[in-house]
Amino acid sequence: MSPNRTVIPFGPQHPVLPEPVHLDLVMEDERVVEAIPSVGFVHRGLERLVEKKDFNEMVFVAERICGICSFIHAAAYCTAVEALMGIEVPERAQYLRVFWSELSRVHSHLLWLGLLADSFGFESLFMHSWRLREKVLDIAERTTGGRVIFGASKVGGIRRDVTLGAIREARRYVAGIEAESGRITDVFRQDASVKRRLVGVGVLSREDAYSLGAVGPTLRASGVDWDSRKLGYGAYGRLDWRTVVETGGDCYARCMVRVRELEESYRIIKQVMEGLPSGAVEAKVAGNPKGEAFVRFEQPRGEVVHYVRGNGTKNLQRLRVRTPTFANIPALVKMIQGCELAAVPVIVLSIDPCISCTER
Amino acid sequence: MSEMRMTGLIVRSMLSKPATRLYPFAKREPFPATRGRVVPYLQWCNSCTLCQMRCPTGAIKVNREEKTWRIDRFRCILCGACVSSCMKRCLAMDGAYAAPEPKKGVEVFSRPAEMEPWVKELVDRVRKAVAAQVAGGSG
Repeated sequence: MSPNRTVIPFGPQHPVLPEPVHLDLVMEDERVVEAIPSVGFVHRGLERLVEKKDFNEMVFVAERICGICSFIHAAAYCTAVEALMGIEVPERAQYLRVFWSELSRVHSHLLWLGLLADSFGFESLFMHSWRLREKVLDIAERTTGGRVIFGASKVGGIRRDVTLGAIREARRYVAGIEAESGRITDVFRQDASVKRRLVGVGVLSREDAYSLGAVGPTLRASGVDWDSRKLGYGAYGRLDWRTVVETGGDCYARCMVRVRELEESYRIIKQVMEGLPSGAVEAKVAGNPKGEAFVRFEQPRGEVVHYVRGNGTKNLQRLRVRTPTFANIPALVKMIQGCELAAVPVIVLSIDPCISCTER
Repeated sequence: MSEMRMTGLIVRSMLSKPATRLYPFAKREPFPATRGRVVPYLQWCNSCTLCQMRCPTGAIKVNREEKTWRIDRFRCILCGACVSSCMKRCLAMDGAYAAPEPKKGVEVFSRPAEMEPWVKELVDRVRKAVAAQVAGGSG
Protein backbone atom coordinates (compact mmCIF):
# COMPACT_ATOMS: atom_id res chain seq x y z
CA MET A 1 0.00 0.00 0.00
CA SER A 2 1.35 3.45 -0.90
CA PRO A 3 1.87 5.79 2.09
CA ASN A 4 -1.11 8.03 1.28
CA ARG A 5 -3.74 5.32 1.59
CA THR A 6 -5.93 4.63 4.60
CA VAL A 7 -8.68 2.09 5.08
CA ILE A 8 -11.94 3.31 6.53
CA PRO A 9 -14.61 0.79 7.51
CA PHE A 10 -18.16 1.62 6.41
CA GLY A 11 -20.87 -0.33 8.20
CA PRO A 12 -22.18 -2.71 9.37
CA GLN A 13 -23.58 -0.11 11.76
CA HIS A 14 -24.24 3.09 9.86
CA PRO A 15 -27.12 5.54 10.16
CA VAL A 16 -28.04 5.38 6.48
CA LEU A 17 -28.03 1.63 6.11
CA PRO A 18 -31.37 -0.10 6.52
CA GLU A 19 -29.54 -3.39 6.93
CA PRO A 20 -25.92 -4.22 7.85
CA VAL A 21 -23.36 -4.45 5.07
CA HIS A 22 -19.67 -3.85 5.49
CA LEU A 23 -17.40 -2.07 3.04
CA ASP A 24 -13.70 -1.51 3.57
CA LEU A 25 -13.00 1.77 1.80
CA VAL A 26 -9.41 2.18 0.66
CA MET A 27 -8.93 5.95 0.52
CA GLU A 28 -6.34 8.27 -0.92
CA ASP A 29 -6.97 11.57 0.90
CA GLU A 30 -10.68 12.19 0.30
CA ARG A 31 -11.18 9.87 -2.68
CA VAL A 32 -12.16 6.24 -2.54
CA VAL A 33 -9.82 4.10 -4.58
CA GLU A 34 -11.29 0.70 -3.87
CA ALA A 35 -14.17 -0.80 -1.87
CA ILE A 36 -14.06 -4.34 -0.52
CA PRO A 37 -17.50 -5.63 0.51
CA SER A 38 -18.27 -8.17 3.23
CA VAL A 39 -21.72 -9.62 3.63
CA GLY A 40 -22.95 -12.18 6.13
CA PHE A 41 -24.12 -10.20 9.13
CA VAL A 42 -27.73 -11.30 8.90
CA HIS A 43 -27.37 -14.77 7.49
CA ARG A 44 -30.12 -16.86 9.06
CA GLY A 45 -29.89 -20.04 7.01
CA LEU A 46 -33.48 -19.83 5.79
CA GLU A 47 -32.91 -22.03 2.75
CA ARG A 48 -32.07 -24.93 5.03
CA LEU A 49 -35.53 -24.77 6.59
CA VAL A 50 -36.96 -26.62 3.59
CA GLU A 51 -35.74 -29.77 5.27
CA LYS A 52 -37.93 -29.11 8.29
CA LYS A 53 -41.04 -27.40 6.95
CA ASP A 54 -43.25 -28.86 4.29
CA PHE A 55 -43.76 -27.02 1.03
CA ASN A 56 -46.96 -25.32 2.22
CA GLU A 57 -45.45 -24.02 5.43
CA MET A 58 -42.39 -22.79 3.59
CA VAL A 59 -44.48 -19.89 2.21
CA PHE A 60 -44.38 -18.30 5.67
CA VAL A 61 -40.60 -18.58 5.73
CA ALA A 62 -40.26 -17.19 2.20
CA GLU A 63 -42.39 -14.20 3.21
CA ARG A 64 -40.06 -13.43 6.07
CA ILE A 65 -36.84 -13.42 4.06
CA CYS A 66 -37.19 -9.66 3.86
CA GLY A 67 -39.62 -7.12 5.24
CA ILE A 68 -39.82 -4.78 2.30
CA CYS A 69 -39.91 -7.26 -0.57
CA SER A 70 -41.91 -9.73 1.50
CA PHE A 71 -44.97 -10.30 -0.67
CA ILE A 72 -43.02 -10.76 -3.90
CA HIS A 73 -40.80 -13.41 -2.30
CA ALA A 74 -43.91 -15.33 -1.24
CA ALA A 75 -45.54 -14.91 -4.66
CA ALA A 76 -42.38 -16.05 -6.45
CA TYR A 77 -42.03 -19.09 -4.21
CA CYS A 78 -45.69 -20.01 -4.68
CA THR A 79 -45.38 -19.58 -8.45
CA ALA A 80 -42.29 -21.80 -8.50
CA VAL A 81 -44.04 -24.59 -6.58
CA GLU A 82 -47.17 -24.18 -8.73
CA ALA A 83 -45.04 -24.51 -11.87
CA LEU A 84 -43.48 -27.63 -10.36
CA MET A 85 -46.80 -29.25 -9.55
CA GLY A 86 -48.67 -28.07 -12.63
CA ILE A 87 -51.28 -26.05 -10.72
CA GLU A 88 -53.27 -23.44 -12.63
CA VAL A 89 -53.90 -20.35 -10.51
CA PRO A 90 -57.30 -18.71 -11.16
CA GLU A 91 -57.37 -15.26 -12.77
CA ARG A 92 -58.73 -13.36 -9.81
CA ALA A 93 -55.88 -14.65 -7.66
CA GLN A 94 -53.35 -13.58 -10.28
CA TYR A 95 -54.78 -10.08 -10.49
CA LEU A 96 -54.81 -9.74 -6.73
CA ARG A 97 -51.20 -10.93 -6.57
CA VAL A 98 -50.31 -8.14 -9.02
CA PHE A 99 -52.27 -5.67 -6.89
CA TRP A 100 -50.32 -6.58 -3.79
CA SER A 101 -47.01 -6.76 -5.67
CA GLU A 102 -47.46 -3.24 -6.99
CA LEU A 103 -48.52 -2.07 -3.55
CA SER A 104 -45.24 -3.54 -2.27
CA ARG A 105 -43.38 -1.68 -4.98
CA VAL A 106 -45.01 1.64 -4.07
CA HIS A 107 -44.26 1.04 -0.40
CA SER A 108 -40.68 0.12 -1.14
CA HIS A 109 -39.98 3.09 -3.40
CA LEU A 110 -41.51 5.56 -0.94
CA LEU A 111 -39.39 4.05 1.81
CA TRP A 112 -36.31 4.30 -0.37
CA LEU A 113 -37.00 7.92 -1.32
CA GLY A 114 -37.19 8.72 2.37
CA LEU A 115 -33.91 6.96 3.10
CA LEU A 116 -32.20 8.68 0.19
CA ALA A 117 -33.29 12.08 1.47
CA ASP A 118 -32.04 11.10 4.92
CA SER A 119 -28.67 10.06 3.50
CA PHE A 120 -27.90 13.58 2.34
CA GLY A 121 -29.42 15.17 5.41
CA PHE A 122 -32.82 16.24 4.08
CA GLU A 123 -34.76 14.95 7.06
CA SER A 124 -38.02 16.75 6.54
CA LEU A 125 -38.38 15.23 3.08
CA PHE A 126 -37.60 11.82 4.62
CA MET A 127 -40.45 12.32 7.11
CA HIS A 128 -42.91 13.38 4.40
CA SER A 129 -42.13 10.31 2.28
CA TRP A 130 -42.64 8.03 5.25
CA ARG A 131 -45.83 9.82 6.24
CA LEU A 132 -47.18 8.95 2.81
CA ARG A 133 -45.93 5.40 3.12
CA GLU A 134 -48.18 4.97 6.17
CA LYS A 135 -51.22 5.41 3.94
CA VAL A 136 -49.97 2.63 1.65
CA LEU A 137 -49.53 0.39 4.68
CA ASP A 138 -53.12 1.21 5.66
CA ILE A 139 -54.38 -0.15 2.33
CA ALA A 140 -52.31 -3.28 2.89
CA GLU A 141 -53.66 -3.74 6.37
CA ARG A 142 -57.23 -3.24 5.29
CA THR A 143 -57.01 -5.84 2.53
CA THR A 144 -54.67 -8.41 4.04
CA GLY A 145 -54.52 -7.88 7.78
CA GLY A 146 -50.80 -7.15 7.98
CA ARG A 147 -48.93 -3.92 7.36
CA VAL A 148 -45.63 -5.27 6.13
CA ILE A 149 -45.89 -9.06 6.13
CA PHE A 150 -49.10 -9.60 4.18
CA GLY A 151 -49.63 -13.33 4.73
CA ALA A 152 -51.74 -13.33 1.58
CA SER A 153 -50.11 -15.94 -0.64
CA LYS A 154 -50.38 -19.67 -0.56
CA VAL A 155 -49.56 -22.44 -3.00
CA GLY A 156 -52.52 -22.54 -5.36
CA GLY A 157 -53.67 -18.95 -5.06
CA ILE A 158 -54.24 -16.49 -2.26
CA ARG A 159 -55.45 -17.02 1.26
CA ARG A 160 -58.21 -14.47 1.51
CA ASP A 161 -60.43 -12.69 -0.92
CA VAL A 162 -60.91 -8.93 -1.06
CA THR A 163 -64.44 -7.56 -0.84
CA LEU A 164 -65.87 -4.98 -3.20
CA GLY A 165 -66.06 -2.47 -0.36
CA ALA A 166 -62.36 -2.86 0.31
CA ILE A 167 -61.57 -2.32 -3.38
CA ARG A 168 -63.61 0.87 -3.45
CA GLU A 169 -61.87 2.16 -0.37
CA ALA A 170 -58.48 1.25 -1.80
CA ARG A 171 -59.33 3.17 -4.95
CA ARG A 172 -60.05 6.32 -2.92
CA TYR A 173 -56.87 5.91 -0.94
CA VAL A 174 -54.77 5.43 -4.09
CA ALA A 175 -56.13 8.62 -5.64
CA GLY A 176 -55.13 10.55 -2.51
CA ILE A 177 -51.72 8.90 -2.39
CA GLU A 178 -51.03 9.68 -6.03
CA ALA A 179 -51.72 13.39 -5.57
CA GLU A 180 -49.56 13.67 -2.48
CA SER A 181 -46.81 11.60 -4.05
CA GLY A 182 -46.66 14.04 -6.95
CA ARG A 183 -45.91 16.87 -4.53
CA ILE A 184 -43.17 14.94 -2.77
CA THR A 185 -41.47 13.60 -5.90
CA ASP A 186 -41.50 17.11 -7.35
CA VAL A 187 -38.92 18.04 -4.71
CA PHE A 188 -36.71 15.11 -5.73
CA ARG A 189 -36.99 16.03 -9.37
CA GLN A 190 -36.36 19.74 -9.20
CA ASP A 191 -34.81 20.90 -5.95
CA ALA A 192 -31.35 22.36 -6.51
CA SER A 193 -29.83 21.04 -3.28
CA VAL A 194 -31.03 17.51 -4.04
CA LYS A 195 -29.58 17.72 -7.52
CA ARG A 196 -26.24 18.96 -6.22
CA ARG A 197 -25.90 15.79 -4.16
CA LEU A 198 -27.17 13.36 -6.78
CA VAL A 199 -26.21 14.51 -10.28
CA GLY A 200 -22.92 13.11 -11.51
CA VAL A 201 -22.40 11.00 -8.39
CA GLY A 202 -21.64 7.29 -8.75
CA VAL A 203 -21.81 7.02 -12.52
CA LEU A 204 -22.25 3.52 -13.95
CA SER A 205 -21.85 3.25 -17.70
CA ARG A 206 -24.14 1.14 -19.83
CA GLU A 207 -21.46 -1.41 -20.67
CA ASP A 208 -20.44 -1.79 -17.04
CA ALA A 209 -24.02 -2.17 -15.88
CA TYR A 210 -24.66 -4.91 -18.41
CA SER A 211 -21.38 -6.81 -17.99
CA LEU A 212 -21.37 -6.66 -14.17
CA GLY A 213 -24.86 -8.15 -14.07
CA ALA A 214 -26.71 -5.26 -12.47
CA VAL A 215 -30.48 -5.66 -12.21
CA GLY A 216 -33.53 -3.55 -11.59
CA PRO A 217 -33.45 0.24 -11.38
CA THR A 218 -29.64 0.18 -11.22
CA LEU A 219 -29.62 -1.38 -14.69
CA ARG A 220 -32.46 0.68 -16.10
CA ALA A 221 -30.88 3.96 -14.98
CA SER A 222 -27.85 3.20 -17.13
CA GLY A 223 -29.90 2.86 -20.26
CA VAL A 224 -30.54 -0.89 -20.51
CA ASP A 225 -34.21 -1.61 -21.10
CA TRP A 226 -34.93 -4.77 -19.10
CA ASP A 227 -37.67 -5.33 -16.56
CA SER A 228 -38.53 -8.88 -15.47
CA ARG A 229 -42.21 -8.07 -15.57
CA LYS A 230 -41.85 -8.15 -19.36
CA LEU A 231 -41.77 -11.95 -19.05
CA GLY A 232 -45.52 -11.64 -18.61
CA TYR A 233 -45.95 -13.77 -15.48
CA GLY A 234 -49.12 -13.46 -13.47
CA ALA A 235 -51.41 -10.83 -14.93
CA TYR A 236 -48.63 -8.54 -16.20
CA GLY A 237 -49.02 -9.86 -19.71
CA ARG A 238 -52.61 -8.62 -19.79
CA LEU A 239 -52.10 -5.15 -18.34
CA ASP A 240 -50.92 -2.01 -20.09
CA TRP A 241 -47.68 -0.71 -18.60
CA ARG A 242 -44.27 0.54 -19.75
CA THR A 243 -40.75 -0.01 -18.49
CA VAL A 244 -38.94 3.05 -17.20
CA VAL A 245 -35.46 3.76 -18.56
CA GLU A 246 -33.06 6.64 -17.92
CA THR A 247 -29.66 7.18 -19.48
CA GLY A 248 -27.71 9.22 -16.92
CA GLY A 249 -26.29 6.29 -14.96
CA ASP A 250 -25.76 8.47 -11.89
CA CYS A 251 -27.64 8.57 -8.58
CA TYR A 252 -30.05 11.14 -9.98
CA ALA A 253 -30.98 8.79 -12.81
CA ARG A 254 -31.57 5.94 -10.34
CA CYS A 255 -33.77 8.25 -8.29
CA MET A 256 -35.74 9.27 -11.39
CA VAL A 257 -36.25 5.65 -12.43
CA ARG A 258 -37.82 4.89 -9.07
CA VAL A 259 -39.94 8.05 -9.09
CA ARG A 260 -41.30 7.21 -12.54
CA GLU A 261 -41.81 3.59 -11.53
CA LEU A 262 -43.99 4.87 -8.69
CA GLU A 263 -46.20 6.60 -11.24
CA GLU A 264 -46.31 3.45 -13.42
CA SER A 265 -47.29 1.41 -10.36
CA TYR A 266 -50.22 3.69 -9.60
CA ARG A 267 -51.44 3.14 -13.17
CA ILE A 268 -51.11 -0.63 -12.83
CA ILE A 269 -52.94 -0.65 -9.48
CA LYS A 270 -55.80 1.37 -10.93
CA GLN A 271 -56.05 -0.98 -13.92
CA VAL A 272 -56.16 -4.00 -11.61
CA MET A 273 -58.85 -2.50 -9.41
CA GLU A 274 -60.99 -1.60 -12.38
CA GLY A 275 -60.61 -4.84 -14.26
CA LEU A 276 -60.61 -7.35 -11.38
CA PRO A 277 -62.23 -10.55 -12.67
CA SER A 278 -64.61 -12.48 -10.47
CA GLY A 279 -64.22 -16.12 -9.59
CA ALA A 280 -62.33 -18.39 -7.26
CA VAL A 281 -59.17 -17.32 -5.52
CA GLU A 282 -57.51 -20.67 -5.02
CA ALA A 283 -56.87 -23.89 -6.86
CA LYS A 284 -56.80 -27.37 -5.38
CA VAL A 285 -53.37 -28.61 -4.36
CA ALA A 286 -52.91 -32.38 -4.42
CA GLY A 287 -49.82 -34.50 -4.21
CA ASN A 288 -46.22 -33.61 -3.59
CA PRO A 289 -43.78 -31.57 -5.67
CA LYS A 290 -41.37 -33.45 -7.88
CA GLY A 291 -38.91 -32.05 -10.40
CA GLU A 292 -37.30 -28.63 -10.82
CA ALA A 293 -38.71 -25.17 -11.44
CA PHE A 294 -37.19 -21.76 -11.91
CA VAL A 295 -39.04 -18.42 -11.85
CA ARG A 296 -37.91 -14.83 -12.19
CA PHE A 297 -39.92 -12.01 -10.66
CA GLU A 298 -39.38 -8.27 -10.56
CA GLN A 299 -38.94 -7.02 -7.03
CA PRO A 300 -38.64 -3.32 -6.29
CA ARG A 301 -34.87 -3.78 -6.29
CA GLY A 302 -34.54 -5.88 -9.41
CA GLU A 303 -34.87 -9.41 -10.64
CA VAL A 304 -35.23 -12.17 -8.06
CA VAL A 305 -34.81 -15.80 -9.01
CA HIS A 306 -36.46 -18.64 -7.10
CA TYR A 307 -35.35 -22.17 -7.84
CA VAL A 308 -37.10 -25.14 -6.25
CA ARG A 309 -36.41 -28.84 -6.51
CA GLY A 310 -38.73 -31.50 -5.16
CA ASN A 311 -38.24 -35.22 -4.86
CA GLY A 312 -41.78 -36.45 -4.31
CA THR A 313 -41.93 -35.98 -0.54
CA LYS A 314 -43.75 -33.17 1.17
CA ASN A 315 -40.45 -31.40 1.97
CA LEU A 316 -38.70 -29.74 -0.93
CA GLN A 317 -35.18 -30.91 -1.57
CA ARG A 318 -33.73 -27.48 -2.35
CA LEU A 319 -34.80 -23.85 -2.41
CA ARG A 320 -32.38 -21.34 -3.83
CA VAL A 321 -33.11 -17.63 -3.94
CA ARG A 322 -30.88 -15.24 -5.90
CA THR A 323 -31.82 -11.77 -4.79
CA PRO A 324 -31.31 -8.51 -6.73
CA THR A 325 -29.03 -6.80 -4.22
CA PHE A 326 -26.57 -9.68 -4.49
CA ALA A 327 -26.37 -9.04 -8.22
CA ASN A 328 -25.96 -5.29 -7.69
CA ILE A 329 -23.02 -5.47 -5.29
CA PRO A 330 -20.34 -5.79 -8.03
CA ALA A 331 -21.90 -2.78 -9.73
CA LEU A 332 -21.80 -0.93 -6.41
CA VAL A 333 -18.10 -1.65 -5.98
CA LYS A 334 -17.45 -0.26 -9.47
CA MET A 335 -19.57 2.86 -8.86
CA ILE A 336 -17.82 3.76 -5.64
CA GLN A 337 -14.33 3.91 -7.16
CA GLY A 338 -13.27 7.50 -7.55
CA CYS A 339 -15.96 9.15 -5.45
CA GLU A 340 -15.55 11.31 -2.35
CA LEU A 341 -16.08 9.94 1.12
CA ALA A 342 -19.21 12.03 1.66
CA ALA A 343 -20.82 10.51 -1.43
CA VAL A 344 -20.37 6.91 -0.24
CA PRO A 345 -23.63 6.70 1.78
CA VAL A 346 -25.59 8.17 -1.12
CA ILE A 347 -24.12 5.70 -3.62
CA VAL A 348 -24.60 2.69 -1.35
CA LEU A 349 -28.21 3.68 -0.87
CA SER A 350 -28.80 4.31 -4.53
CA ILE A 351 -28.72 0.61 -5.37
CA ASP A 352 -31.41 0.14 -2.68
CA PRO A 353 -29.53 -2.45 -0.64
CA CYS A 354 -31.70 -5.11 0.96
CA ILE A 355 -29.11 -7.14 2.77
CA SER A 356 -31.54 -9.40 4.60
CA CYS A 357 -32.64 -10.62 1.17
CA THR A 358 -29.04 -10.99 0.06
CA GLU A 359 -28.08 -13.18 2.93
CA ARG A 360 -31.31 -14.93 3.86
CA MET B 1 -37.30 28.70 -8.13
CA SER B 2 -35.42 25.49 -7.82
CA GLU B 3 -33.92 26.29 -4.43
CA MET B 4 -37.21 26.17 -2.53
CA ARG B 5 -39.33 23.38 -4.01
CA MET B 6 -40.31 22.24 -0.53
CA THR B 7 -42.25 25.43 0.23
CA GLY B 8 -45.60 24.01 -0.87
CA LEU B 9 -45.19 20.91 1.30
CA ILE B 10 -44.03 22.96 4.28
CA VAL B 11 -46.94 25.40 4.12
CA ARG B 12 -49.47 22.56 3.78
CA SER B 13 -48.00 20.71 6.69
CA MET B 14 -47.96 23.83 8.90
CA LEU B 15 -51.62 24.53 8.17
CA SER B 16 -52.95 20.99 8.60
CA LYS B 17 -53.16 18.94 11.77
CA PRO B 18 -50.18 16.73 12.64
CA ALA B 19 -49.83 13.37 10.95
CA THR B 20 -48.97 11.71 14.26
CA ARG B 21 -51.47 10.90 16.98
CA LEU B 22 -51.19 11.70 20.69
CA TYR B 23 -50.36 8.17 21.81
CA PRO B 24 -51.13 6.96 24.55
CA PHE B 25 -54.11 9.30 24.84
CA ALA B 26 -55.29 8.49 21.31
CA LYS B 27 -54.79 4.90 20.28
CA ARG B 28 -54.93 3.55 16.76
CA GLU B 29 -58.09 1.64 15.91
CA PRO B 30 -57.27 -1.59 14.08
CA PHE B 31 -59.03 -2.47 10.83
CA PRO B 32 -61.51 -5.37 10.78
CA ALA B 33 -59.06 -7.60 8.95
CA THR B 34 -56.06 -6.80 11.15
CA ARG B 35 -54.22 -9.84 12.43
CA GLY B 36 -53.30 -8.91 15.98
CA ARG B 37 -53.91 -11.90 18.20
CA VAL B 38 -55.31 -15.42 18.08
CA VAL B 39 -58.42 -15.76 20.24
CA PRO B 40 -59.66 -19.25 21.18
CA TYR B 41 -63.26 -20.11 21.98
CA LEU B 42 -62.96 -23.69 23.07
CA GLN B 43 -66.65 -24.58 23.43
CA TRP B 44 -66.54 -26.96 20.48
CA CYS B 45 -62.88 -28.02 20.71
CA ASN B 46 -62.25 -31.76 20.57
CA SER B 47 -58.43 -31.58 20.89
CA CYS B 48 -57.85 -32.93 17.41
CA THR B 49 -54.42 -31.09 17.42
CA LEU B 50 -54.80 -29.95 13.80
CA CYS B 51 -53.92 -26.39 14.87
CA GLN B 52 -50.78 -27.65 16.57
CA MET B 53 -49.72 -29.50 13.43
CA ARG B 54 -50.34 -26.54 11.14
CA CYS B 55 -48.63 -23.91 13.30
CA PRO B 56 -45.35 -23.09 11.54
CA THR B 57 -43.52 -22.02 14.69
CA GLY B 58 -44.86 -24.56 17.19
CA ALA B 59 -46.53 -21.87 19.29
CA ILE B 60 -49.66 -23.94 19.97
CA LYS B 61 -49.61 -27.02 22.20
CA VAL B 62 -52.75 -29.08 22.73
CA ASN B 63 -53.01 -31.55 25.58
CA ARG B 64 -55.74 -34.18 25.11
CA GLU B 65 -55.65 -35.65 28.61
CA GLU B 66 -55.74 -32.33 30.43
CA LYS B 67 -58.08 -30.77 27.82
CA THR B 68 -55.96 -27.62 27.60
CA TRP B 69 -54.87 -25.40 24.74
CA ARG B 70 -51.66 -23.46 25.21
CA ILE B 71 -50.27 -20.66 23.08
CA ASP B 72 -46.86 -19.01 23.35
CA ARG B 73 -47.69 -15.47 22.26
CA PHE B 74 -44.03 -14.69 21.61
CA ARG B 75 -43.67 -17.50 19.10
CA CYS B 76 -46.91 -16.77 17.30
CA ILE B 77 -46.28 -15.02 13.98
CA LEU B 78 -49.96 -14.15 13.43
CA CYS B 79 -50.10 -16.04 10.16
CA GLY B 80 -53.61 -17.41 10.72
CA ALA B 81 -52.80 -20.99 9.68
CA CYS B 82 -54.41 -22.31 12.87
CA VAL B 83 -57.57 -20.28 12.30
CA SER B 84 -58.08 -21.69 8.83
CA SER B 85 -57.24 -25.22 9.90
CA CYS B 86 -59.68 -25.56 12.82
CA MET B 87 -62.56 -27.78 11.67
CA LYS B 88 -64.80 -26.69 14.53
CA ARG B 89 -64.23 -22.96 14.02
CA CYS B 90 -62.87 -22.51 17.53
CA LEU B 91 -60.18 -19.98 16.69
CA ALA B 92 -60.40 -16.41 15.46
CA MET B 93 -58.10 -13.44 14.91
CA ASP B 94 -58.78 -10.07 16.34
CA GLY B 95 -56.96 -6.80 15.99
CA ALA B 96 -55.60 -6.29 19.49
CA TYR B 97 -51.81 -6.34 19.31
CA ALA B 98 -50.09 -7.93 22.30
CA ALA B 99 -48.64 -5.45 24.76
CA PRO B 100 -44.92 -5.73 25.57
CA GLU B 101 -44.24 -8.04 28.52
CA PRO B 102 -41.26 -8.15 30.88
CA LYS B 103 -40.88 -11.92 30.54
CA LYS B 104 -41.98 -14.63 28.13
CA GLY B 105 -44.72 -17.03 29.15
CA VAL B 106 -47.34 -19.35 27.79
CA GLU B 107 -51.09 -18.65 27.96
CA VAL B 108 -53.19 -21.65 28.92
CA PHE B 109 -56.85 -22.07 28.06
CA SER B 110 -59.04 -25.00 29.12
CA ARG B 111 -61.90 -26.67 27.38
CA PRO B 112 -65.03 -25.97 29.43
CA ALA B 113 -66.38 -28.98 31.34
CA GLU B 114 -69.91 -28.43 30.16
CA MET B 115 -71.67 -26.13 27.77
CA GLU B 116 -72.47 -22.57 28.76
CA PRO B 117 -76.24 -22.06 29.37
CA TRP B 118 -76.78 -19.87 26.32
CA VAL B 119 -75.08 -22.45 24.09
CA LYS B 120 -77.17 -25.23 25.64
CA GLU B 121 -80.36 -23.29 24.98
CA LEU B 122 -79.36 -22.49 21.42
CA VAL B 123 -78.53 -26.12 20.69
CA ASP B 124 -81.87 -27.20 22.24
CA ARG B 125 -83.82 -24.71 20.13
CA VAL B 126 -82.07 -25.81 16.94
CA ARG B 127 -82.74 -29.46 17.79
CA LYS B 128 -86.43 -28.74 18.39
CA ALA B 129 -86.73 -26.75 15.16
CA VAL B 130 -85.07 -29.50 13.13
CA ALA B 131 -87.27 -32.15 14.75
CA ALA B 132 -90.38 -30.06 13.96
CA GLN B 133 -89.27 -29.66 10.36
CA VAL B 134 -88.63 -33.37 9.96
CA ALA B 135 -91.99 -34.25 11.57
CA GLY B 136 -93.88 -31.58 9.52
CA GLY B 137 -92.12 -32.60 6.28
CA SER B 138 -92.70 -36.32 6.53
CA GLY B 139 -96.22 -36.02 8.02
